[in-house]
Amino acid sequence: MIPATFEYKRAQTVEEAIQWLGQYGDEAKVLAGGHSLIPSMKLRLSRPAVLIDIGRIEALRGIREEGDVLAIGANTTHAVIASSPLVEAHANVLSQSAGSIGDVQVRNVGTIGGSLAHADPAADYPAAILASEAVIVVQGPQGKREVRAEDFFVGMFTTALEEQEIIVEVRVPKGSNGVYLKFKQPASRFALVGVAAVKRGGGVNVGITGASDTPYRAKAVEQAYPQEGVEAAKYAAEGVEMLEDHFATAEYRAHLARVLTRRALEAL
Amino acid sequence: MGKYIGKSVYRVEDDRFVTGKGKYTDDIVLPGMVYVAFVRSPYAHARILSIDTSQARAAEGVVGVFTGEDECGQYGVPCGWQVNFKNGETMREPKQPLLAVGKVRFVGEPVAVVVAESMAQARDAAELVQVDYEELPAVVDPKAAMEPGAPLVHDEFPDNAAFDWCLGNDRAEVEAALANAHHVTELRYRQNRLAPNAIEPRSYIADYNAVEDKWTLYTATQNPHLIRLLLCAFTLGIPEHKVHVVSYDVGGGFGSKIFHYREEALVTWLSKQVGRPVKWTADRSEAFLMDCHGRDHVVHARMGFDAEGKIVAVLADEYCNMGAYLSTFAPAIPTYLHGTLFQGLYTTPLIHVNVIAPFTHTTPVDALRGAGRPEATYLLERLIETGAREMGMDPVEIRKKNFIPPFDGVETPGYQTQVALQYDSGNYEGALNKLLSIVDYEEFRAQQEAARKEGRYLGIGFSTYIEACGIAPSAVVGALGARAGLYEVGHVRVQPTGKVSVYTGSHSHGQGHETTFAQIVADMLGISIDDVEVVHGDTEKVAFGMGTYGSRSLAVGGSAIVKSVEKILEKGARIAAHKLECAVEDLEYSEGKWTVKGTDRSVSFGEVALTAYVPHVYPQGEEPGLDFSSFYDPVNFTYPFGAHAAIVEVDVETGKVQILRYVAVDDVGNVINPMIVDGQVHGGVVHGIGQALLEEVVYDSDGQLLTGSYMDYTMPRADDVPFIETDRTTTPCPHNPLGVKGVGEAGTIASPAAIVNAVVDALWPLGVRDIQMPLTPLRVWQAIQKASNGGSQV
Amino acid sequence: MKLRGEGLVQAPVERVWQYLHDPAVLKEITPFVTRLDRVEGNTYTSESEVKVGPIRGTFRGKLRIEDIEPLKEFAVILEQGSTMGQSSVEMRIRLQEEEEGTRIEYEGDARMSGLLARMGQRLIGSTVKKVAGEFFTNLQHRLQEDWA
Repeated sequence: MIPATFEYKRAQTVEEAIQWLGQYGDEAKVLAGGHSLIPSMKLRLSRPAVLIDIGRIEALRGIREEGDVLAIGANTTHAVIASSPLVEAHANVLSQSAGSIGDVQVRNVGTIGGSLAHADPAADYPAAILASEAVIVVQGPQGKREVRAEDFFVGMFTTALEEQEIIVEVRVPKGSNGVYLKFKQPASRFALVGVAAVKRGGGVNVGITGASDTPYRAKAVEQAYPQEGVEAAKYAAEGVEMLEDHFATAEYRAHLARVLTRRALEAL
Repeated sequence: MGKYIGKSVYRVEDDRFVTGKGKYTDDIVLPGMVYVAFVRSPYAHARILSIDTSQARAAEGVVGVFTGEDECGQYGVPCGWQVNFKNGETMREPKQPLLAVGKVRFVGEPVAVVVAESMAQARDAAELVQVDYEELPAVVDPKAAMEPGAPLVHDEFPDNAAFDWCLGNDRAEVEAALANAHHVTELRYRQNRLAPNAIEPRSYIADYNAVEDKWTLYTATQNPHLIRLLLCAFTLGIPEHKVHVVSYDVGGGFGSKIFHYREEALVTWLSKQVGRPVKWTADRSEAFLMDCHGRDHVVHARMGFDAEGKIVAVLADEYCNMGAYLSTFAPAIPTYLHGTLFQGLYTTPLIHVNVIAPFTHTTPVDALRGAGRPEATYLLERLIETGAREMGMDPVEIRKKNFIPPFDGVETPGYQTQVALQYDSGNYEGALNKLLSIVDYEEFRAQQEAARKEGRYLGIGFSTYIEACGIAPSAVVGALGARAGLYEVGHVRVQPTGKVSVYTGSHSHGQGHETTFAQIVADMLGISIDDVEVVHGDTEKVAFGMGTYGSRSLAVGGSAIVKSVEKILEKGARIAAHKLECAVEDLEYSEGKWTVKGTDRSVSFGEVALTAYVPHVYPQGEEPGLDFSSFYDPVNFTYPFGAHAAIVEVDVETGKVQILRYVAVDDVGNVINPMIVDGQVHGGVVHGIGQALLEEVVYDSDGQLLTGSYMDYTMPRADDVPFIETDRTTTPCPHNPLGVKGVGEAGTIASPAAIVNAVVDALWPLGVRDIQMPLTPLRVWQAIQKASNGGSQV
Repeated sequence: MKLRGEGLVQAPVERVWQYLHDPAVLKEITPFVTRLDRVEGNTYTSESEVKVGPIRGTFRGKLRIEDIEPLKEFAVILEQGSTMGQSSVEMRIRLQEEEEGTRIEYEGDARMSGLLARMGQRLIGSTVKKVAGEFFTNLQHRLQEDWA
């Protein structure tokens, strides 16, 4: 209920935040919307000595069209993404996943950058990010670099972010309309399994979250789709170790992955 | 019918509740107040080897640190109901010390307490307390706790049984009837353990005044006088008149705020120790660990039928978890509030209920909305409907075959059951018929068939229930082991200007008594409801009371108030007669005035009230004042009943259940405020949907609580619940002046069986026969898989 | 939760046995462990900095190695506590000499109690598996480095 004592610093610029990350290292955590970090601080499962608030950096907000890509600032909230006409027109698999996160209060405050950096295995964005082949732009002391979605999610709560890097932007290719279907864990309403499907060329991209400790592209489904169509959904859990918990055995999760993938492909 | 009774008068409480102006215990700030944080056991069972509080004591802002080695460890909270073994052996009552002494017996058991100037400092210091434990093996399942070799929860006893108990006809007779029955339906299942989840966490502030040697205890409770009695007489040994218990607004209880908890006594003790007001408010994590859980029975039940579908016998064997210690009412819940309902609405001639109540290394279990009665209804309604399906009979027809015929308790006598109770009045087929007319049963069966052809699985489930509430006749419960009487107190004071103050021992924590009791008094006296105030929750303002739980406040608390108003009218008539210079028999009272029959000579309530307090011209020998208190001890429980139906659709690919329709027909006797009754039914049904589909407290085999937050404990939300359709029949209660029966628990009692019956109905063609509550998508899916693989379900 | 696994390391049984009894090696190859100090014999005090996602905590406790059969089987018991709860890991490790090296089989039990058990259930299973997996991968690398 009451976090351990911490120092609070508000960054005016990304460079300032990065500099502080270098200075405080492991003792610091970055704060954006705070809806993943603060609950764990209140339980005292996390106790950063320093909180670096990047939430007021205006440069990190907003959705812009840049050629054949939508550039979404890391501090853009889920509510804005879910209701953006630009995202709805060009990458609605992302607005669908944004709109299914948490509840109204969470969506008004939580940010896409914060959610992606936190990399909860049951988060909603990763399925859409993978299926749309988005690119995550991160910035560190050496400057900016781009990380492909496929390379970004490395493990449970682990991303390709280096020690002093923060996410600044998410670049989503246009033409990423599709379907995001989520089977909710009854208590937390996180994704027990979440499947995002986007048509690409003659084929399909399928991103799956919640099923394994890392979100993944269902390559086996994608490869079989041109020949088998919707039936290719049966490969949705192929070669992936399923998570097991109170609400779903590995067997049930694999089954849900197949069912949701089939329903998503049927809806495409 | 007057101006108010029977009308949906808007609640006077709601203004302050919806504008954030309610006064809850946690809102109270006293000068010099200090705060408390607990150090709690991380183990389900362990020996405490040592506790080092030195670092904590030295921490900033700390006023004191205490453990079970201090004086507080000598005190313990009592159990208020004694149920002895069948063989006469005394119930085993281990001491429940305020802080653990020597051993911890469930995760969360408090081991040390830190008192500090601020909440944050108390929490920081609590982390500095070093406790060295020797972990011991634990047992969490009540049946496993009775197996030979199970780890002992309390070393002073030979095994883990707190007591055993049975009720009903001779067991051998019942077993013989089952053996000779045409058909026997058998179910083995677990009544899932629930957490109460009142929206307001428990909160206590104790303020010891050293000059007057008196305590004021502010507490979030359902029964302030009971707390005072238990705290003073049983826990701390303080003279009763030295403790003033105050409970303002309480944000829900569902039973969890009935009990006298360790933290309450400890905060009281601490206040004298440190010489300052001491405050503790639970956080939600602590609430999951410490607020008594409900249900947790392991059940083996059988129902025997003859060839026509009439029930010939019911037999149940249950292991009912007590948790690590006996909480205030715990022994009564799976016994006298449970076994006594096994007659249901049916004419079953032979019934036997057998209960073993073991200790386990888990949070103590006690009353939770329905307390024993949802468990009884679930058992009967699942058995009868499964039996009907197994025998190829219609689930509605089989009930009608078995219903007790209508009786009103006046012309036709009350129904004497095989399990001690005598029902007051009932018209069971009437409620079911009303339900059927709303549900359009034939139409649904046609829809169901059509849907199946399309590969969609719809189902309908019924639950016809009865409950015993309005606890309770003191002599009866005393004979059954209760250590307190269960009457209620209603004190009505008329002020000189004719305004009325009602002091009730009932204590609303969401029920709306400030409105409903005022409705009754206003109508009886023929005055405006704005002239009536209802006061509750303060042991200095209200003489005594037993509190609010078990759907008793209207039936028992309301009746006590009625008795006092009758006394006021009686005395008022004498004063009026004197003023009007006539005989009392010549008067009639209506619309707030006494009128001489056949004339227009009258005197108002207000005038009589003023005269009573300014008795210049006054009847000889009559005392001044218009102020009466009554203690009402009911002659019987009250027996609300009803018929509910749930219509569901099951997505067989994922196991997800959606409730399409929920219809509740309830008979709660006379109705004072229909809106409040509907609200209670809605709340109760949502609570039952929670148990049926969503909620479960889960411990792992080491006794670790796995569902310690809302990330893992599923609460019902708006989209889990359909628009609940409610209707009523009215069969008044013959034995209380209002003819009311109570409704707070009805929805919770009926609904789990209706929902599970509906899902089983939907999946019956797939071979599914039973699914363990809560029917999570996983469980439903697994049941379907098992059935289609030819195995048995669950 | 139950743990089980096996792997092959290209090193002789005696070397594997030695490494698994060496606190300096154990500290290096066990994820999160920051200190391992001998108390006496095969008992050590231990300190770990656990990091899983947002969860960070310092765990302190004891590590005990009990030999069951020299060069063949031993047990490792690691019991640590933190403000978030206590963790207890018990593993039996069997070594089998084979042509290409040594087969290591492990079997055991990992238990959490306290706050982490209540709030962190989703993490515990995966984290424990990951830690066990990394332990053996690190062991293999270390042996490979020294013996390749």
